[in-house]
Order: sequence, then C-alpha cells, then structure tokens
Amino acid sequence: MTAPESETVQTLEALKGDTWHRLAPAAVIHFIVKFLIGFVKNGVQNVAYLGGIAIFTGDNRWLILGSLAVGATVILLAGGILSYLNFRFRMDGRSFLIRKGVFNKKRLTLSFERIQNVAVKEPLYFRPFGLVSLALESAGSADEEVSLAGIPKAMALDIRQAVLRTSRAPKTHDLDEAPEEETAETETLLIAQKVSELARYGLSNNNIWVLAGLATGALFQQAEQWEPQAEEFVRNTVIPVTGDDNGVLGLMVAAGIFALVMLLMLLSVLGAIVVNYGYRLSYAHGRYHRTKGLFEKQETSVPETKIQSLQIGQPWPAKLLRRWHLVVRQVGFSSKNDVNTSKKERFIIPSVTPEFYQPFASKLFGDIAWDDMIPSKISRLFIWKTLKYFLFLPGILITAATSYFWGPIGFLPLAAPLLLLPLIMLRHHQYRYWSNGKTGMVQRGFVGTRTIMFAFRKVQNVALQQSPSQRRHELATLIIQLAGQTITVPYMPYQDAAQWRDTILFEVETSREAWM
Amino acid sequence: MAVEAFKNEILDTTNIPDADHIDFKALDRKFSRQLILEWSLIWLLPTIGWTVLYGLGKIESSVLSGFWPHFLPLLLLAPIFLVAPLHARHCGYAVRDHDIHYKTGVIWRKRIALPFCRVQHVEIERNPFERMLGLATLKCFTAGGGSADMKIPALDMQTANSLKVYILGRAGDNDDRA
Repeated sequence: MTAPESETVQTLEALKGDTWHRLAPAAVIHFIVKFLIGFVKNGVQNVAYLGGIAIFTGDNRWLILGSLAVGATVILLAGGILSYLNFRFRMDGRSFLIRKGVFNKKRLTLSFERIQNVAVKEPLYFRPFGLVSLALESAGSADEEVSLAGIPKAMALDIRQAVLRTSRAPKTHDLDEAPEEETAETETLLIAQKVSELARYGLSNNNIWVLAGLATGALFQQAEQWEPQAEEFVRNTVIPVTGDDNGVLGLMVAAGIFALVMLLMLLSVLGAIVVNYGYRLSYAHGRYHRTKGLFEKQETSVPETKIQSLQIGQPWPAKLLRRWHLVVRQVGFSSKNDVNTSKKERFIIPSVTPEFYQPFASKLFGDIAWDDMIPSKISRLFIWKTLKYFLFLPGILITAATSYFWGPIGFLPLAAPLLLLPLIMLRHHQYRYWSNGKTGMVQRGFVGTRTIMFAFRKVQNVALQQSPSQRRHELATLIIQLAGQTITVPYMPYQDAAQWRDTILFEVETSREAWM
Repeated sequence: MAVEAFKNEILDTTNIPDADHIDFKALDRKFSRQLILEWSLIWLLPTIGWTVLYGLGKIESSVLSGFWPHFLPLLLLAPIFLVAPLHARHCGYAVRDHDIHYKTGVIWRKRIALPFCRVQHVEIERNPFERMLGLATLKCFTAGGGSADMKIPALDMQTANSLKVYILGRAGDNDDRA
C-alpha cells in the first residue's frame, strides 16, 4: 500500500480511509529525544564508556571524542528521520493500525475497546508547531502501547473523544448514568491546584527523603577525596574567624546540615511544581481526567470503573501542613520486569484536605459517614509478637555470634528491641480498620499514615491466617487481595476478620457491577 | 453522577452467609504418600552430596569419625514421615454455590476463599509423582497477583476435571459485560 508522500492530516475525518498517514515532520525531534532519553535511561554505564575513552586514550582523546560526537549526531539524525519515514498510521473503523520500525518492522492493531487510557502530552519541543503527542495505553503489555507523537492538537482531542465514546458504549450501567448530550460542558472540575498547594506537596511528600538518601550516598562516596581539602578549608578559613571553639564549630556543622535540608526541600518543591504545574482534575462521562505539567503538559484519564482503591496518605511532614496526598490505583497488570507500567498506575492527587477527599471517596465508594467513623484498633499482641519474631529472635542469633567474638560488648544487639519498641508501639497505634459493609478502610503508618479505601465488591480473593497464639487469643490475620494490591490486617479479633471475609464474599458474589 | 441511586441500607449481618462453619472435604488419601515422595527427593539431593563428600574425606571434624556419620541424614528423614500425614490431614477444600475455599497448615493455618466470579483462568497440573499416583493439582488464578491464588493438590483426575469445568462455567458469572 502506498502512503501519501507529504502533508499531514489535520482532522479525524481525513484519518479514516484506506491511506496510510505520516506524523508531522517535527516528529523527527520526538524520535531523537526518545533515543536520547533511552540512552540516558539505559544507564550511566553508557556514559562510563565515554569516560573510559577519555581516560585511556592519550593526546588524541579530543579527536576521538569529537568524532564520536559527530558520529552520534549523524546516527541520531538519520535514526530520527528513518523512524519518522517508517512510522505510518491509519484508522480502520474502530481500531488503529500502525506500522513502524526501521529494521524490525512492526504492525500493530489496537481496537478502541481495548484502550484503557488516553493521554495527550504537549512536550516543549512540539509547542512551537502546535503539535501534541497522543499515547494510547492498552490493558496489555507496554509493547502494545501506541504513541502518536506529532499530530495536530485538534485531531488528538478528536481521537480521544472518539476513543472514549466507543470504549464507553458497550457498558450498560454507563449509559444509564450519562444520558445527557456528550459535550464538553458536562465535565465537572473537581480540583485545580494552585502553585502554593503544589509547594506544600513538594514540602511534604516523601521525595525529599529519597533525594536526601541519594545526596548522602553521593557525599559519602566523595568524602574520602574531599576530606583533606575540607580539613584545610576549616583550618585556614573557618578557624581564624570562629576561633578554635568546638561549640561554634558544632553550630556551624548544624547550620550546614540545616542549609542542606533546606536546599533539598527547595529542590523537592521545584520538582513538585514542575511536574504538577496547572494541576486540574475533572470528571466527565465516567472518567477522571487530569492535566498537569510545566514543560510537558500531560493529560491522563482513568475510567471510574477501573479504579480499585484510593490511598489517602499523610506523611509526617504533611501533618504539620495539614494536607493529605491521594493515590488512585487502577487495575495493575504490570509485569515485574517493566518499571514503566507501574508508574502509569499511580494517579496522584497532591495536597488536599478532608473537604476534598471525603466527598471524593464518597463519590468513588458510596456514602461514607465520616463524622461517625471510629476505626478499630488491632490487638496489642501485635507489639509483643513483632518484638519476639522480628527482633528478639534475630537479636539472640546475632548476639550468639557477636558475644563469642567481642565478649560483653557483643550483647548490645539484645538492646535493639528496646530502642525499636517505641516504633512498634507507634505502628500498633496507627494500624486501624473500619468498614460499613460496602467499603473497607485500612490505615497503617508510624507517625504519618497511609490509608487504603476499597470497595468490598472489587476484592479478588480473601484469606484468614492464624498462628497458634492467634488461635489461643482468638485473633487472625486478614489478607485481602485486590487486583494488583494486597492489603493485610494483622492481629484482628477473629470475629471481625471472619465478618470481613463473609461480607466481602457476599458483596463480591451479589454485585452485578463490573469490577474493571 | 457515577453513583446514582446508591443504596446503603444497614446490613442485617445474620443474612450474610457464614464461611466459618463449612465442611471441608479431605484431599485424596494418597496425598501424604505424594508429599513423602516429593520431600524425600528434596532430602535426597543434599544427602547424596553429604555421602560423597564424607566418603571422600572432604569433611573433617573432631566429632565426626568412623562410619556412623553416614547415617546422619536419616535423622532428617524421620520428620518427613511424621509431618507429611499430619499436613495432608490438615488440608481440605470446600465448594459452595458461589465460591471455593481451601485450608492448609498444621501450625500456621490458612483459609483462602475465592469467589468464582473473580476467576481468570484454571489450570490442572501434574508432576511425575502425581501422575504415578493418579493425582492432579488444580490451580485457580484471579487478577490478584502473578502466581496461582489457590492451589488444590491431591485431587483425583476426575474430580480435578469436573471441578475445572464447574469453576470455569461459573467464572465471570455475574459480570454484566460478559
């Protein structure tokens, strides 16, 4: 089949037909950027080769590196252009047909019904051309994912509309819900986050600690090299000013650490703002739509029926700011080897208050009497058992070895349980569960909390587990399996656990609604 | 709105079927023989290693001397014969109208409940020992995780097959889209 050689299609109507279409020529940039990102992602080891060349070559190293750079640029350009030339697509009724690949030719057919998510992205480099990139995510593997990078925005929106309309059509319960005209006006805005809220998210999410971990790791790696210089700096520059006073030096170190933490917080805030800039969450025709992003504007949508659980998290810094961060979880078919898909399932709603999440949860799971909610606690036996199995027993084993080699000092590992006892008590204190017979809620945490809410009718299977001591005390551990997520409630009174199981089975077996 | 006409009546808990008191069906009596065979095979491999190494004099210790250490692995064999029948006796399954239950464990006891309408697919698996004894393992998968969510071992071939057919027939029963 021959493809039209030049112009890009502008409308959805033009897309239908027998001819194969190309992306806009600017898509070449997209392919180049994709290669570069792939190169960087595939590891710093790629860069290490360059470093190796720089180290092991002599005077001519710049010549070699320079020619490598020229060669790489040529390959990138050629690769980008070839990828562009070989990428063709057309629409056949209710499915997309795509041919792509330079050496490995690939043909894909993706029917509208199988499309789970439609994301419209506006990368920075496409903006001058008025183009966008449309990602069609199917429930299957990432291989089947289709990305039309470099199509006019209007067409992308049309395609999205068309796909959403089709994928909705076969579901009867959806038709009952949305009898209105399918126009943009039926979209209700749920939340639009201001920059100040995003800054709060940056301050209170856990990314700071991930960054801090990376930073300390990097610092420790460099510490040995920097030590002599640092010592010299302290001796020659700092001490003449402060005097040889340990107190003052200590304060300086504290100030340094403080400054570092502030810097990390700033980075985290900036990151949160860049990623989530212009955050908008809206609801229309059984789907949640989200737009966000400063440099790359992203549009993602999640069908309401596919939502499996809602996570209401409050890390400890968020406690000070009185904010909660939500994660909406979808069906997770991600394979363990694929890191990208697990990210796709995370649908974060940053920095909200109970005024938002309570009605939002009620919308997802049905009315919840938040005011009368008194979650139950798990048994205190949890504290003792955790100490015994996870700390005393390993402690004794370690002590047996260490005391043999080091004498009395070797008995120190036995003290570890005492130091960790407050943590376990906090853990026990935060472990709560609640249910109204339709929706379950399980809360965990140490200081901050993470609460999972889910509809009983979406549970996949449920198990009860009992150790001998749990049997004696009439306790049980409840294990609830959702699609792609396991929820465990340890040391529940047996009666409660059995009732949860029975109610869950009842809900699952009597529900007539689709779970995904 | 998505949740139109949502009803949330106070639930009469006495109406909810109770899964606590169900009669579990015992597994095939040949199950303990199957376990002994499987566990013995696991026992055999290190035992061979031990015998060869000790015979070659590669293991030296002040405690171990003479011929008797050759019999040491037998100490581990005894528990297999004790535990296998006990374990086999504590496993069982129960099929109800809408779900299937499996219990396992002597000390740490576990009971899994799997509603038929959540079953994605069902497999029958037979390892050489099972084929020898005429048994089969039934594996049920839901969308929960990667591995089988419920494995019922030691079913005779006919039961396994009819269970499979029954479960698959009930799978996706109350999914309106099916």
